[in-house]
Amino acid sequence: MSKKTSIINKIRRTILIVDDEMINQEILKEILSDKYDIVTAENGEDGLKVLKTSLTPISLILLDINMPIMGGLEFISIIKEEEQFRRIPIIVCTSQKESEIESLELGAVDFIKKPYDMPEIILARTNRAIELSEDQLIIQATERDALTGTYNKHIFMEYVHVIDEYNSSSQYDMLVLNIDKFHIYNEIFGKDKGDKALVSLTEILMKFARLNDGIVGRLHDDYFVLYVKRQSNYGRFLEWIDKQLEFHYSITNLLLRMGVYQITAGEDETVDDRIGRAEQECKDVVVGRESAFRIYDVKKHEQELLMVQLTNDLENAIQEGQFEVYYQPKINVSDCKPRLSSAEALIRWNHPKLGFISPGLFIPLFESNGSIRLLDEFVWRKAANQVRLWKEKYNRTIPVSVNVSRADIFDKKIVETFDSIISETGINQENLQIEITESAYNNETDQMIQVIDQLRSRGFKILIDDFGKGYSSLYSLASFSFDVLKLDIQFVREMFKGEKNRKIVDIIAEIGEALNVPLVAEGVETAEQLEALKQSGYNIIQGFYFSKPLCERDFDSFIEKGDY
Amino acid sequence: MLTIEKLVEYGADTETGLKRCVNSESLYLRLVNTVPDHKSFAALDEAIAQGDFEKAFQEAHGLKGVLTNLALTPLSDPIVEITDHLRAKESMDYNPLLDIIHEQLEKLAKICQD
Repeated sequence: MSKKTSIINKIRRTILIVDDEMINQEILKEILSDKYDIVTAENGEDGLKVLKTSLTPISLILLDINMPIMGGLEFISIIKEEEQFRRIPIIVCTSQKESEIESLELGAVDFIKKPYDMPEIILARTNRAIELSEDQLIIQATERDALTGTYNKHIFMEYVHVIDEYNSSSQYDMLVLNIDKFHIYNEIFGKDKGDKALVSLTEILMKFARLNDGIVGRLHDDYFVLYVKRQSNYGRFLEWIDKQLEFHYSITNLLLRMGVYQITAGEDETVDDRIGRAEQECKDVVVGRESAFRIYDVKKHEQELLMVQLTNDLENAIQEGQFEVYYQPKINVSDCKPRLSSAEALIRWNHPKLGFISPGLFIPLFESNGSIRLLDEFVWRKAANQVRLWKEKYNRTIPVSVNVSRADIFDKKIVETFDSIISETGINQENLQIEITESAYNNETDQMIQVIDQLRSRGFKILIDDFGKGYSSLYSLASFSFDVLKLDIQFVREMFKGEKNRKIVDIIAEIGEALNVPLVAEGVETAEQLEALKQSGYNIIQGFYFSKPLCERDFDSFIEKGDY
Repeated sequence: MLTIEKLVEYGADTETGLKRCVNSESLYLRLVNTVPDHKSFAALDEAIAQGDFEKAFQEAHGLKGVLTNLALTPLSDPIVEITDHLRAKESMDYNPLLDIIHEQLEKLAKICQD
């Protein structure tokens, strides 16, 4: 015996017998009273009174059809309309074949033929009807969301499997729908009105699902999920919901957003994954700024997976030596003979599985999630050590500039870290130059000013990188102290594409001269660019014209060759 | 006092009737004892006399359920028959059937009183 059955058996239930014949009542009582409490009524009207006044819930109704005042069929049709009674199972007791059919159609669960069959059979059918009804109630209570009456996520997922199993002709999509900033709606209008809005929205979604052979579930809070036949225009669907809300419920201030995951034939995504993707798309919708729905894009997802993988791999990659620091020479062209003045340290990642990964891919990623700090420090140490090695090997001081990301600036230990690098390598602070991209100056200026001042007071040189790229270039010049200005690569690339570009390059050079700071131009690839930049006053040149970024060994050769 | 033996002698299928009462002899006899006073017999007569076949059917149908349940065959057989005719709203002379019913009812009343 199952646990559920044993619990059910311990609870004594009440059965209502509605029959105008005392003898029939008595016979049924005799059959059932060992196990059940019995209440009786002589006709349908009397039965309704008993239902409404009974102190104990009625678990089953045994109902005669032919009765005076109110017959059985009328009784059924009335209680099926009453929310509190309509789930009570009814067994019709009749000898009329046509009444059996009619009563089953009206919602009776079973019938017992008169004259009564074997008492054991009547008892068994009564037990079974109660058990089935209670199972159904338990299922309904657990599978439906209490507020909206939609499926909960677990049951929704089960039904998706059923749809998939029996549907082979139509394409289905998973939709996750959410009310943007619903907590504010609740705060303004109150929770009752908020709940009412959820119920109204549910009714509309259910209507839509019915029309599109689909189902609706509530994931949590104000997140709904639909599995419906593919729509050609999801924007129109959202507009339709808005109109329905306004027309039927006078609700005009709900902002909806939606994520769509389109199911493709033969895919092996789990239902949970499909919901998860639709939900993520939904969360990524910025209401008011773009379309109120987003459709999941496989390529974007693959890119996201790659990003997660790279982030996870970072720490191991550093430990296993997958990162290598390259150095791109910076050549001083102020004299007749160009000479090597310094270098910029640049990172390269040779991933064991993915091969060479562009810094353009992983640096913005690590900057956005804060893990750039780990990588930057690795480069700083390597670069400082390289300055020491060149000094030892060639007795030449070749300063190296390293990149400092915005995230690094807000690390309270950054100054301490640079101090420790200097003390570990024994190099001079001015030979470890610090490049801070101009866009990093845009926010949090106090912290930025403080860190830059601390570093400069120790002797580190500060370069403003990518100068001219941001919209606050002049502001950053006025607000921060720095030692070198580095022209954004884009100006070099486009300096011959129009007179205006060339003039901007000249203006930036004039700013540098006026502030008395050296000017660096990077990305220089041709003699023509070199000459123009030289004429404008850019004395330090970095780019393929002189050399591509070099690994340690190749840079050694570059020095040894002695061209610069 | 009404006994099973007297009912067997009367022609009732007491085995079936008792089974329906979960083999409770006392319940079965108590219920059979109420039959002669069942108000539907008089109501049936009156409805037929007034030509209200709908009402007559309701009464006969009710009696049919009770009598077949108790397996009082000599009484339930003519009741089943008259119920079928009334359901079909047949225009016929119901008196011969009513006579049989009353005859059997009186027999039953007698053994109940003895």
